[in-house]
This record gives sequence, C-alpha cells and structure tokens, in this order.
Amino acid sequence: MRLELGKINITDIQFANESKIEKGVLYVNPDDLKPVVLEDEKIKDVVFDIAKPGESVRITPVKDVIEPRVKVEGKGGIFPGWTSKVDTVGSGKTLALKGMAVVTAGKIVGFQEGIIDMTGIGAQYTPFSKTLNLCMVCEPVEGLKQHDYEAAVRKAGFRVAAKVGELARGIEPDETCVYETQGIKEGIEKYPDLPRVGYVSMLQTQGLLHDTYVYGVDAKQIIPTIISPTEVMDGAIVSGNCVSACDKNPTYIHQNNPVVEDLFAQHGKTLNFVCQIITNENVYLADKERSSNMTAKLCRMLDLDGVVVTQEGFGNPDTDLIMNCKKIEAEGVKTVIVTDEYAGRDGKSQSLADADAAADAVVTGGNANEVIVLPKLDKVIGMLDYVNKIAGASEDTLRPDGTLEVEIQVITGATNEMGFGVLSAR
Amino acid sequence: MMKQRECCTRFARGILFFYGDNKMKYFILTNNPMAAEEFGDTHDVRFVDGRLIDVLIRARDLINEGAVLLSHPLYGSVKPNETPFRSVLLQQGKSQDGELPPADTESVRLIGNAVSAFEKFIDKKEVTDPKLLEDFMVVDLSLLKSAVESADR
Amino acid sequence: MAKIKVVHYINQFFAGIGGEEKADTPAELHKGEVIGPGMAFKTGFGDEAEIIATIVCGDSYFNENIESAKAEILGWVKDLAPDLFIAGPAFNAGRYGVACGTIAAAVKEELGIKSMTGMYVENPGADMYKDKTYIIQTKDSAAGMRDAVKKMTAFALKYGKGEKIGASCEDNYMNQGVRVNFFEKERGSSRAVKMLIAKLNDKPYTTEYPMPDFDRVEPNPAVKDMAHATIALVTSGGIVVKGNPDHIESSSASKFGEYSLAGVTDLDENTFETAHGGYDPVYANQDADRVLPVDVLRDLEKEGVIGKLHEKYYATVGNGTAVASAKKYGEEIGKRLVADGVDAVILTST
Repeated sequence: MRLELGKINITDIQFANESKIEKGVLYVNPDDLKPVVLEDEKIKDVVFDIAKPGESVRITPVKDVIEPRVKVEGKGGIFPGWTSKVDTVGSGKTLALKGMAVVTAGKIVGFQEGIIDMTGIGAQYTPFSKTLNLCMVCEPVEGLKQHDYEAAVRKAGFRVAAKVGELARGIEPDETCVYETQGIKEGIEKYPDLPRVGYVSMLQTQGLLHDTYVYGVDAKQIIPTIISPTEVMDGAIVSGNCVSACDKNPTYIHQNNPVVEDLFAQHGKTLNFVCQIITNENVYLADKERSSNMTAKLCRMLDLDGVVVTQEGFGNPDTDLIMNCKKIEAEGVKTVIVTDEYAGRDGKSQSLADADAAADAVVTGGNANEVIVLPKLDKVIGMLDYVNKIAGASEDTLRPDGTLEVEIQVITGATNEMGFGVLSAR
Repeated sequence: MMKQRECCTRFARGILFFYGDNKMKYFILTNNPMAAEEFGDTHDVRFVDGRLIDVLIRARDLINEGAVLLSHPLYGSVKPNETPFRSVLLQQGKSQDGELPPADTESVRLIGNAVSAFEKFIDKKEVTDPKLLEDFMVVDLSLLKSAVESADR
Repeated sequence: MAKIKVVHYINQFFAGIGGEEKADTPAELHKGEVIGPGMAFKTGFGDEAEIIATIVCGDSYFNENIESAKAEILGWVKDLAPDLFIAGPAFNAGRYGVACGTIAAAVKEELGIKSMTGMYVENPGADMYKDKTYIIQTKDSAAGMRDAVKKMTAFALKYGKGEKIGASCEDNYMNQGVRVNFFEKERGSSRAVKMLIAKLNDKPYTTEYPMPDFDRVEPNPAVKDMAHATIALVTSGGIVVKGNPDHIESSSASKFGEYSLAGVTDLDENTFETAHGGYDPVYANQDADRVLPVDVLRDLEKEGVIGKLHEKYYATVGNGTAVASAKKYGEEIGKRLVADGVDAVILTST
C-alpha cells in the first residue's frame, strides 16, 4: 500500500469569523464547530479555547488528543468507522495539519487524569506542549451516564478534528512524505537480503475509559490481525482510553505512530518493514493467552525475523507484553519491547508487574512515579478541582502557593510506551 | 439462585483447558457493592467487606488453597492506590481425596506481583466523596463485565 | 567559590610502597600530600578542588583488621572534615576494591560525608558496595588509569559542587538498583528500532531495563529411594556452633562454615546459635532447629523415612551477601557433598 502524506505546517491558531487556513495560520470560527459537537444530543454545551506553546496555560483533565487530517485521494476517509464509512484506508493521499492538535478535555469521571502544561517543567514531559492546541471542553446533559459521556466526547473529538481537517483540502502541503509497504512476495523479491521486521502494537482494551477501536470495532473483540501501517495514518485506530495519562496512547500518537515512522525510515535500507500486527490487552486471562498465541503465530507465518512490541497502560498489560515477548521469541523471532516503569517514588520497587528472561531488549519511557512540582499557571482550560483525587497525586498535591506536587504519571504522554518521547530511566 | 455456567475456561501454566461437560463454576470476589448487586442474582459473588488490598489478599489465600485466577488481578489502568474497588474472577480448585488441590503456579505468580505492585504506591486517604465512589464503582464494574463476558461466552 | 576539599584513599601499591609483599602496611595518614593517582586527580581538578590528605593502607592489613582499620581511618576523615572522600580507583584488584568500597560506604554512612570510588564492574567490591556509594565504572587494569581519572574527576566535581547527579549511564557510575529518569537524545521508538537492528545483526546492544535476575536452576529428578538416601542440611540462615568459631560475618559473609552433626539429635541454645544479622535472632538462638531442622531429620532417620542424615552441615549468612560469593560457596559445598556421597540436600533459609 502506498500513502502520500502531505504535511501542512500550522504556525498559529486564531479565532475568526471565517474558518480557513491561510499562510500556515488556522482561523477558526467556534460557531462553525459548535454545531458539529452539539449534533450529539448528549452534549449540552461546548467551549473552545486555544493554548499555545510557552503560554502560562494548563489543560486538564485531558481526554484525547487528535491531529486534524483529511483524505484527498484514495479510498475511504479519515477515522473510518466514525466520521467515514469503513472502506479500507491507507492508500492515496492524505493531508495533515502539523504542529497543532485538537484536545478534548472534561471530567468524565471524578478521577479523570491528564495534564498538559504549555510552559514550565511540566511542558518538558508532555509532547503536547509543543503543539498549538485547539481545546474543547464538553458539558454533558443532566444525568448522563459515564459510558455515554465518554462515547459522546470521544466521537465529538473525531468530528471536530475531521471538520478542521477539511479546511486543508485544496491547500498545497509544505512537505510530502511517501510511505509504502509491499505485499509479502513482492517485499521478499525487492529486499531479498534485508531482515523482515514487523511491529506488534498492543491496544488497551478493558472496559470503560480503557478501550481502543479499529475501524469502529471495539478491539477487545478482535483476534490479532495484520494491518498496513499506512492505515493508522488515516485514523484506522482511535483511542477511547483516558486512564493512566502518562502511558495511554491518544489518537494523535496512533496517527503519528513513532515506531511506524522510524521503521519506515529504515525500510529498504537496513530492514524490510512488512506490516503492523495489532493485538489487545483484555482483562480475562484466557483472552490474554489466546491473543498472545495468535500474535506469535502471525509473526511466524509472516516469516518475520524481528519485531518491535509496544504496550499501553499500567499493570496487567505488562503480563500481555511479557507473554507476547516470550512467545514471539520462542518462535525464533527477535523482539525489542517498549514499556514504562512504576518503580515507586524512590525508584527502588520492581518496575514491571511481570518479567521474563526472554525480554532481553527493553526500551523504557521512564519511571512514572517520579515526583515533580508543577508551577502555578495563569490559566486553566478545563478544571483543577479534581486534581488531588487522581493517581500520582495526594491530598497534599495542591499546595498553598498554587503549585502542584505530582508524580509524572498525571502528565499526558510523559512516559509513552510507543516511544513517542525522549524520557527514559536507568 | 445462581446459575450453573455452561462452560468455563481455565487458565493454567500457559495452557488453555476447556471444560465442556464438567460445568466448572467460577466465582466473583469483589468489594464493589455495585458489582455485587449487578451479578448477585446470576453469579456466585463473594463479597469482601474491606479495601482493595483485602480483596487481593483474600484472593491470594484462596489461590494458595487451589483456586485459579481467571482475570488479571491488576486489571484496569486505574492505580491500586487510587480506586478503592477491585473484582477478581476465580475458579475453585478441585479437591482430591479431601486434600487441598495444588496451587496453580501461574495464579500464585500473578497475585504475588499484584500485591507487590499495590505496595509500591503511596497510601492515600480513603475516598469519601459519593460521586467519586460511584465513578470508581462504575469503572470497576465495567472492567469486571468485560471479564465476565469473556467467561460466559 | 571555595575549593572542594578532598581526602583520597589508596593502597600500598598505588602509593609506591610495594606489591603483595607490602600488603600488610598499616594505615597511614599523609596530611597535605598528594600521592600516586592523586597527582592525576590534582591536574584534573584544576583550582576547583584540592586533595587535602592522602590515606594509604595495605590491602591485607585493611581486610584482616577491618574493624580497627576502618575505625582509625574514619577518625582521621572525621577530623579532616572534607567535602568529598575518594577511594581508588581499584580496577580489578579484588581486595583493594573491597577496601575502597568498605571505606567509602562507611564514610558516607557513618560520617555523612559524600564518598565515591572507582573500579571494574567485575571487582567483587562493585557488587557489594554499588548501592552504598557511587562507584565509577573503570577498565580492568591500571592501563585504564587515564580514562578512570577523567570520569572520576568529572563526577567528583559535579558531586562535590552539589549538582544533581543524573542517571547512571549519564554520569558513568554503576547503577545503584534505583531507577533514575533522564531525557535521552533520541525518542524511544528510534532507540527501539536501533536496538532491534543490532539484535538482528548479532551486534551488541544494552537493554534499558535489565529484567530482574532469574538464576533459575532446573531441579534434579526426585530421589526415588528416600529410605536409603543420605540427606544433608545446608543453610543461609547462619546457624553455627556456639561462639561462631569461623567468625562468619553477620552480613556480607565472606565465608561458609562446615560443622559436625555427629551424635547431635537436637540443636539447643547451649551448643548452637545464629550468626545472621538480618533477622531477630531470639527464636533461632533459643532453638536452632527452627532454622536447621536437625531434630526432625533425626526423627525421620529413626522412622526409616530417610536413610541417614549426613554427619556434616554447611552454613553461611545470606544477609547482603554478594551473589558472586554465594555462588562460589555453593559450588564448593556441592563438591564436598558429592565427594561424601550425599544423595540429596535440604536448603533452608530464614
């Protein structure tokens, strides 16, 4: 499959009467976007705001982060199963608005996490302090149940991102990257001497606030399968996961999957990037067994020489990760796994909830229990009242001087387990 | 009365056993009142009147006596010092000649890891806010349901 | 800013006194003197730090008079009140490494003074002390002196000035078993892809999180005929003959002991005790069978369940003992048991 990804660099976002993109500036009229959100009657109201890098702004609690894109050539549309039909995406041409993101925020449950600081020490830990953020805080109708509220905000985010993405249609991209994978036989013929490499992407799939969707399907229902990594660039995988802010994978990170990008960078040079294998992280142990068995089998059937395995979330996904690693290695396929750590505030505890000697090549996104003090910032988009309720915080989190003493696990993307960030630990 | 489950799966030593005719039952160990209410009429629910760690320790005791874990005791990404609730699916071990069945090593390992994972988080004050408690119950119930759905399939 | 005051510890060899034949040189304090590798440190420190005294001690002397030598040196260091204490580097010299580790850890622990040393990763002192002081990783011989001094100097200045110490890989010290966050140059996915390419090509790579060490041993097949088997007892619980004749240390044991059970049917408080310093010894001292179950095995012997209890048992203290040392004791004990025709062993811990 071959996808041309045109990148339009957005250098500023401004509210204006007319929604458009001009000379790299995104002009947004909130009144154009409001009806897109309110078409779901479960949402009573929405407030839009803009947060820019370097501003004294804190966005919290963050639910999802999404990059606006539009499909201009080829089958299907962005976010298949949501804002488009379920045609197979991943080929043709797609335009992406780079340097910006749509951020959905709001308190779905009382312990909703996720902080994006646009300045100060917290900004170093989140990748979304470097993007211009179009924020939307949704207010639900009275008495809306948690499940319905989550679904409503999740889908509203996709609709807004797709609507903003539409503004890119017809605009000349600043840069175009071409991503292409070959069929199995074609790939072997084209790169006979290169090791065949796959990417095993584990998706969080456990229940409310812990779900991931593939072409609109709840991924806890899937058995592992293969997809073209270009499909994820068109939003084939979206996030419904909003617990464990530091190591959940927002939709943005699926769209800009760093492992996919870095494997493509080596494709045809040092390796042959064959495909992406998606698997899940279910609660039920037999599901874990089945999924890891299938994943290892796929690696074998595809004659892979090596895979990168990435995970999502805290605790039991460590068991899935280790099962995958062990079984894939047992098939003679070499693995590198990407994870993060919960080594305690003092860094002395066992980092993972599971372990095995087969996991001899590990990349870590750092210790999520590290404590930092976030400065008081001038403006909050969302609300702060919940903050001492969340993981990585305590009763003493909100200090009298307005600073926050927290573990970095409260920060969106801080210890990302797809290797999106530079934080690590030894 | 609780219903006999048609079929259950058992997780042990990396092997999946299917009990078709055996009608092996499982039970839900929980301290979540909402879970007890949801499944009380249809499932074997054993309520633990205590904290999250009490559920894990009760599960550990039962596993030492031969019970087998069916769901991961660290399910969900909600941290164990954050949510007060936990539900675990377990299957009773079969006793042999009145002797306790041997402990399932994989279950022992997982529950041991879960207890130590709990211990590495700082202890937080008890949650009292009723809205927040409800949210925690709802999320725990949702995670439990996803396990029960797999078990009852 | 005032210069960082440093006290430097070296052995007889690096002080130019002599080799093995002079290893019994007692501890000496050389106030205001810079000796041996200290000269190189001096150059590296420039005017940011100065060595105010050098302590020289023979390796044998230190290790054979560990308590008195330590006390004497600590006394000097306390009076000198330096900002930083540097020992070595010891490279792969075992006893020198242990001395450097011991004294550096003691200076930090007992005097609250910053301390550091340097040695090769396989030096036994590294395993014993890497979590108790900063140990800079050096090459295995004095040929690596230039490199060692460069790394130790950089660390000493940073540490001495009170700057934040980074992760072990950033500041070249041995991992202390504590996970420390830092920002890498490349994002995680790029590091993962590079690591995979190295792994695929059988090139070296370093995992960022070494899995906990599982030194699993395949169990031997079950003993079929217990009724004729000779069973031995081995413990890491420190049960020794009363008075601890071999002076097995209460922690970080440097040896194991072999003791006779001939004619012993029950361990009691007049004849056996524990040398272990890592648990409340009261119950073990009252009745050492609680750790080393001789009484029960004598019963089984009488009942004919086992053939006989081996007439010797082996004991060490598992408290903080280096894995490498434990392995060595295990191998030696195993050899002796095999030579004595023992069929099976019961290992007890605490």
